[in-house]
Amino acid sequence: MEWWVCAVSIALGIGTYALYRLIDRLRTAA
Amino acid sequence: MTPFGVVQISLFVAVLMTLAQPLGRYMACVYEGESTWLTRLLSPVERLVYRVAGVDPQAEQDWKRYALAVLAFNCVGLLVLYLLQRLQGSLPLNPQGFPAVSPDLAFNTAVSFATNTNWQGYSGETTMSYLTQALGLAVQNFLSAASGMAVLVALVRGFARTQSTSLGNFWVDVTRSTLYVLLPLATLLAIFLVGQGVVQSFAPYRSVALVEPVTIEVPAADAAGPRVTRSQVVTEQVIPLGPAASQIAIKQLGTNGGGFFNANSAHPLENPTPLSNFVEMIAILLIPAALCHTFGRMVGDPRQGWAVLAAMLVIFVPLALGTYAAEQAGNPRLEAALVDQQASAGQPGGNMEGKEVRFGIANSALWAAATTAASNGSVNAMHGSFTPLGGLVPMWLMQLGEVVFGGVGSGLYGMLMFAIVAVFIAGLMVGRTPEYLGKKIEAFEVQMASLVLLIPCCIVLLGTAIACAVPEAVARVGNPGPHGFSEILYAFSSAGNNNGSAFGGLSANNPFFNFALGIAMWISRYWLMLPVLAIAGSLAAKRTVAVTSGTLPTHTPLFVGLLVGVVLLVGALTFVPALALGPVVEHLQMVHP
Repeated sequence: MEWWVCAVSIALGIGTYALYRLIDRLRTAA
Repeated sequence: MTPFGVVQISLFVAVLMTLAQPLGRYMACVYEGESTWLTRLLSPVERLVYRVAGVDPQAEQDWKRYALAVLAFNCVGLLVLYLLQRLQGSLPLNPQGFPAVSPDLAFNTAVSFATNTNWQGYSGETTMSYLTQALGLAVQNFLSAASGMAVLVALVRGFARTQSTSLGNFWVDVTRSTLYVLLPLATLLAIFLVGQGVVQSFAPYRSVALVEPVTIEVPAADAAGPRVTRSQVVTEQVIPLGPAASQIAIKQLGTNGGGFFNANSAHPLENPTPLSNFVEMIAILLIPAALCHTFGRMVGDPRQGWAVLAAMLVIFVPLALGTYAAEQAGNPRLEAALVDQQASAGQPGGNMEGKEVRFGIANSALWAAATTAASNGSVNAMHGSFTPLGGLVPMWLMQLGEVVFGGVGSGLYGMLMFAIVAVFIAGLMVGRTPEYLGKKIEAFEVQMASLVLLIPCCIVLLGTAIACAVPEAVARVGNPGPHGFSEILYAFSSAGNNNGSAFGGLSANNPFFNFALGIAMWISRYWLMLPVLAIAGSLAAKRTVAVTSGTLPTHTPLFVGLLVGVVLLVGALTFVPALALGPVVEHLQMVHP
């Protein structure tokens, strides 16, 4: 189960960073 | 509804409004770095914190640095809380000898408390050591609340500043929120609660002899079938203790809501008297209401704060009264069975199932509305035992996006996103470029505000749909039919809007719900903070435009009406179909069996 916690946490971290980059791109484009 | 109940609700609103304005002014001084009556006492502590943490309080951050600081700070807090739970069996202050919390529950709880949701898949008194409660959960109560306040302040600075790239310093804002606002208020409230009878102790639990032994039925150990029981005479009761008062004070003020005990604020050692109940209810809404005044002062026009606060009240008061009316009306099926549900000198009447006799109908209904309007989530009655319509209102208050007061900081920044959408719609109607507080609202701001509005809706509806399709999740529902659907919808509405209250009935401590709700809580917190901070950065960089005859005034009753309309329409269009499958069907089954 500990591996699941690691996997989910990493996925959430990557998703959050991807959103951050997307917003930054939109902001730069605006 | 009884006249006495209406008077109590009116008194609550009056006291809340009276206290909110001075606190809002005080917080504006704190965030603008002005001297307050606590500055002499606390500024040495503040400087010490900066020195130890290596923070330069004069260094300003742009939105990206601010956002990364928020995320890094919260991730570290989440990791510490996870490790505390996993290692509590080997750590001190564990007189009951509780073992390590399971990985999935520890993940869920760590995300829950770091995101200011405080959903609890566990019973505090049988799962968490005193160290985990005090050093892990209570500390996160402060820090998650301070994080929300910091993000709000950054957004307000975005409105207030002109052609600037910076939004302030996250480390300064989070320190000042904790030191000057949350700690003093929580200390005062904790002392008051101890005076009312809330426990505050590190002593082990106590066993006491019952005045009158009771006989209970327990499963027989040698039974051939699962339903065979035997009688057992109980002569002793275990009284759980712990450092509860200090945690309860911040759980209410920081709109956290996680109870020290499993029964939360229905437990007599968390909320012993009607007076403690009243003060705790005030504490739930006090900072979110006061922050509206802080906002008005920081943007240089207190009327703007009043307008947002008025919009919140216009939604909150009728819905609170609606819950009260539904609960006081009781259950028509019981009336048909000749059960007396009329309020009288001897009984509160109405639907008292799941409610504490010392609080009655009005204070239970008002708490339910307050705790779901704010993203608090503590409960003094079991929402799953409310009448279908009485339970619908708390659920819908969460689904509105936790913007009616909402969480400390997060509620107001959510409402300001609705304000951006409202001026955008008004601009479309009259054919002018929308402006809010002197800043032009353009495509980027509307895109980001739309993200903030839509992400929680998607989380709630998708999460509910997936759970209804997973047999392991459906098996954890405590009731069949529409009430069972309401249990799942309520759970995802709570997690997907960072509320944390539960409908009861749903056994959520299993891997599916621990992970699914944990993911929902994470996304609905941090995936909203990022666009909010991006809007703040965008607004701060803009110049302030002059007010002209074509500018829509945003402090008038017309704008308040428009804002209320946008909030209610988005909430209704998104969630009425789902609500129709749960509480609405259950109501129809109740009135037309």
